[in-house]
Amino acid sequence: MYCNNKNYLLDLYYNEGDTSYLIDIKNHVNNCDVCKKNYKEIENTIQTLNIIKKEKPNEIVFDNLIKTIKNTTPEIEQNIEGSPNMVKPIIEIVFSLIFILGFIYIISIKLSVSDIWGILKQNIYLNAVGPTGVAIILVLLLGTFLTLAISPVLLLSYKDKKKF
Amino acid sequence: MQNRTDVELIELINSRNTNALKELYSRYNLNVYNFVLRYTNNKIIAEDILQETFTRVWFASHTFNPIKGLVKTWIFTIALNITRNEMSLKRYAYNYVDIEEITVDDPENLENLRDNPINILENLETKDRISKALEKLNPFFKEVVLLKHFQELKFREISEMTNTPEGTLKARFHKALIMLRKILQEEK
Repeated sequence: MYCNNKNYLLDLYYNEGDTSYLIDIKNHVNNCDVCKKNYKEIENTIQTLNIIKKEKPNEIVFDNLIKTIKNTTPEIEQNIEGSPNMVKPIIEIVFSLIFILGFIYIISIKLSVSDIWGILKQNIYLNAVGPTGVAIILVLLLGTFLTLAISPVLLLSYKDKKKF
Repeated sequence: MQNRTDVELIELINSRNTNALKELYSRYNLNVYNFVLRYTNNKIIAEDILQETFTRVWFASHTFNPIKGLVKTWIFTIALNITRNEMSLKRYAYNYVDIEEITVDDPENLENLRDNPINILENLETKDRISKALEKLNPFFKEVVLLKHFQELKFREISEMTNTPEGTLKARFHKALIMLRKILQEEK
């Protein structure tokens, strides 16, 4: 059965296949003169190829590779431990803490929106921009605080999505 | 970095870690380069393709799926596709590495030459003959010999890379060996 298909000799030479299959082939080759001769020929030709040794590429290839990716990738991390990106979450955590503590303080002193509005109206700088200007500044400040406060959560979910 | 697995390195590359890329490059640059060098017979093109392969690894790291196969196979698939495209686009002059070039480049050869000049020259001639014999093979046959013998990939892995049935690959490899033997015997 093996003599009609020479592919099995390659399985034997490269040891590819389960043990029982390889033992079966080995037994056949040992007892079949034609297959034994074919196996020897394959072995000799493959061994002739071994004379070709591996060559090393020029070291400049890696330098060029790094230059290429640095030119096209602005957000490179140098290493995973203590990466510069760790600074950003720390700032965001501080902002979120300020936001939460500020919120708790406002609730604890029972300060209403109209009270805050009254305080702001007394400020001469804010008076200069008018009530609409004050409202816009407040919305922008609140937006900034909210974004920075929830960004650690967004950052973590983004990192999770990137994993596969 | 050296203790990391290939998959971990790909994950780090995905988060833009150049040290991970450096480690992956050090693991596979020799194999990829030699595969492309034997395929194209041109050192400059082989170095260009090596660089392009790892540039793609960097930019396409998010597309790697460990369920589909090994990192090694994935890298070789990239290298093989680039090489095939490159070779189909242009006709390259076969700048084969000649004896003088090998002698100057390889310190091991220089060392041996002092000891036994006849042996080393015979060895270099044999290398040259084998390389030229490989060059004469049909690209599909050459490809399977390079991936199987020189890169030590399993037929199953080559099959995944090239979308070719294992049986076909084995038949090609066997035929390539017969052709190589014939070419080498004719040249003797």
